[in-house]
Amino acid sequence: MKNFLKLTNFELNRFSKIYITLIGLTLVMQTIGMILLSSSYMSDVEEQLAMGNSMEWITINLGTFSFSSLTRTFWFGGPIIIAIVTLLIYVFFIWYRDWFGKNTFIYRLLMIPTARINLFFAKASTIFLMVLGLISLQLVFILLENELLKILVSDAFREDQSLKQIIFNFDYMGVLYPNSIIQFFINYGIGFMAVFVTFTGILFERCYRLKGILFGILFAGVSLLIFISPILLQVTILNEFFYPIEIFILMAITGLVVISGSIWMSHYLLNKKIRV
Amino acid sequence: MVLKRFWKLIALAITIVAILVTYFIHTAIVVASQFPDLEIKTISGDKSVLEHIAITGDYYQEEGNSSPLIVTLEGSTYYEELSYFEKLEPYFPPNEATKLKDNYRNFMRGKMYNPSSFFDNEEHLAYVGAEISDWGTNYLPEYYLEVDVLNKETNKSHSFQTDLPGVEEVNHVDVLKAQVVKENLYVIVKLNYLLADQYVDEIKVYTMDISSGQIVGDQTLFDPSEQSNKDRWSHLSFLNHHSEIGSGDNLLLVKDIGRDLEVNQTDGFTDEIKSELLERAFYIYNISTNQLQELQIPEEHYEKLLLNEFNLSGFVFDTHVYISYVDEGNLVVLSYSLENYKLESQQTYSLKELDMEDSNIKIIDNKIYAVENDMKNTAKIFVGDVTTGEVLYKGEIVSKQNSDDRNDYSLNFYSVKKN
Repeated sequence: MKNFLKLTNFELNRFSKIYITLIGLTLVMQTIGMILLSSSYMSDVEEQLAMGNSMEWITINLGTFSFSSLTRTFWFGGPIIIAIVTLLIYVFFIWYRDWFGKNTFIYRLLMIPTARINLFFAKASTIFLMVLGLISLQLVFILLENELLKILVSDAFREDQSLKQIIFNFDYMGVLYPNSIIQFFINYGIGFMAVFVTFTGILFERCYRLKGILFGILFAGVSLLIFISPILLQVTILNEFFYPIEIFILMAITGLVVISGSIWMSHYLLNKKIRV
Repeated sequence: MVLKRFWKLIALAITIVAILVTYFIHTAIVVASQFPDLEIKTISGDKSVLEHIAITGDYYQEEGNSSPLIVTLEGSTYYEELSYFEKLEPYFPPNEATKLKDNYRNFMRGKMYNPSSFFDNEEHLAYVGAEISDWGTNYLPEYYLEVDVLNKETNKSHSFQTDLPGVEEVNHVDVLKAQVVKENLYVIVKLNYLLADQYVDEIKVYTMDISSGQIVGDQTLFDPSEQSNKDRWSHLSFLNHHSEIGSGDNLLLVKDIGRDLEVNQTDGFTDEIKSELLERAFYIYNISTNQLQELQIPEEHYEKLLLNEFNLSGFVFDTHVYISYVDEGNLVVLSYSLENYKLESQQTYSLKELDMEDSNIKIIDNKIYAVENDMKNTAKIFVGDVTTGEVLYKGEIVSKQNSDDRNDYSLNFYSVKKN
């Protein structure tokens, strides 16, 4: 356990500079976006007021300013997309840097007197923590930016939105921030399962190189098939046989099968087949 | 020492847990306070007439929150407030067919939970579903009937599929009723298809031999080709409870004939078509005796029934058929005996005092229920006895919070059910 924690902490430290940059970038870009958009809106409003138009006329013709005015722009979505892409790349890089960095670091890692699967778990936990960390901090940022909005735009032209409305009005945030905690576990459970399977795929490549890519893709394909097999059965030969709750239970089981299969396979590869 | 070494890990973990836990607590509170708790407030009469009654509808809020809901004497239940697992149930509010699932879990697998597709008595549970096998080259669906009959004594079910004889190019097939009589399964379907440039309805009664799975009888109740008139439209509707699995033999049908009046064709576009109802006839079809009997409507009611095209409801209960309509604030109920098909009594209840403009009517156990459906934040309820004409209850669905800041929503009730 201690070795696992040490390794996780080590992995976090290795990525912390980029990670903190991502957090900073998100906060800065979204704040700048909020300031730019609201001040441009307010200057439009002032222009209209100067032209003698009534406040009512302005709210109808210019529209009111709400948090959604920000979420629809690149200022808000851009850093989120950059963070997602960075973390996706890091899912691969977290392994390959140990092989391709200076003086094959993986050699030392594999020699640490602990179960090698701890390496796998530490890297996976690092990815999970960083994903969840960004997700949580984004929530805090939304609240902060919402307060900023209240300072920048006067009451008359502002449409206040609750946290839930902000999330509801922004398409893919519904997936990132579901209403029910079970849906949260489902969404992120599927995501983390995909990370496990990708890790195993990477290990296949590291063990068998070119041939390994093929094994990795095959492994991912089989995992996907196993995971969605209840749905496949439901829509093909079984013809709506299962009740929704049964599909849920079956997919929870197949999901666990895929995760255990992935861990077991990675354990085997790390112990028996890994090449440095 | 440990703290110092792992501080990044610990800080990140604490941040995540703290924020996400707060978020989900916040969300749970927001969801819970999003919808007003509704209750039924009595204006006059005895509340007990609403026991085992569920009023279902939709809730709309200006900000975009909406949810189906059920109101009973115990209070209100919103679909959006249900747990994740409760939401997995495909139907809300539950209907009579979904309730069958609890007792016949295996039999109910893969079926469409349309109550009129089911028949339930002491010996049998039967299902007939109109399903689409393919789409033809002319983009019309090709239907077949999926039949499943459970013998409750042996607990064995017999399922088969059958084409619809005499049906070629149809637009839509609707199963109106299934009924097991001895060894036969009677299935009543409504077909909708294009005949001489007009969509027409046709009602067919198929008799199936359960053991062989063969259709042994095929009868048309209303043949549209006989009455096809290019200038007129005709609709057949089935007034018995769609929401209930009746084991009764009698079906109440209404046949409407009308015409479309074209208004405003000067600009080259037909921008408005007004429809006018010309004839309206009511029939009772008895499945066991295979008899179709027209009900005689007294002149004074007939005129009003033509004027109130959409304010019509009809029910078959026990030994009586009821036809009910709302006219100028009055709720009128005509009761016909099923023995001789004669008008036995007529009741008129005044809804004026309750100021109910638009309402949904239902007759359950000799009581008539009217629930206001006017997209307001309250809804009036009226209950009357159809045999005596007595007013049993008047009430209103209101918000418990009773505060003025929550009037940004509207309620739309569309059904009253036995719970």
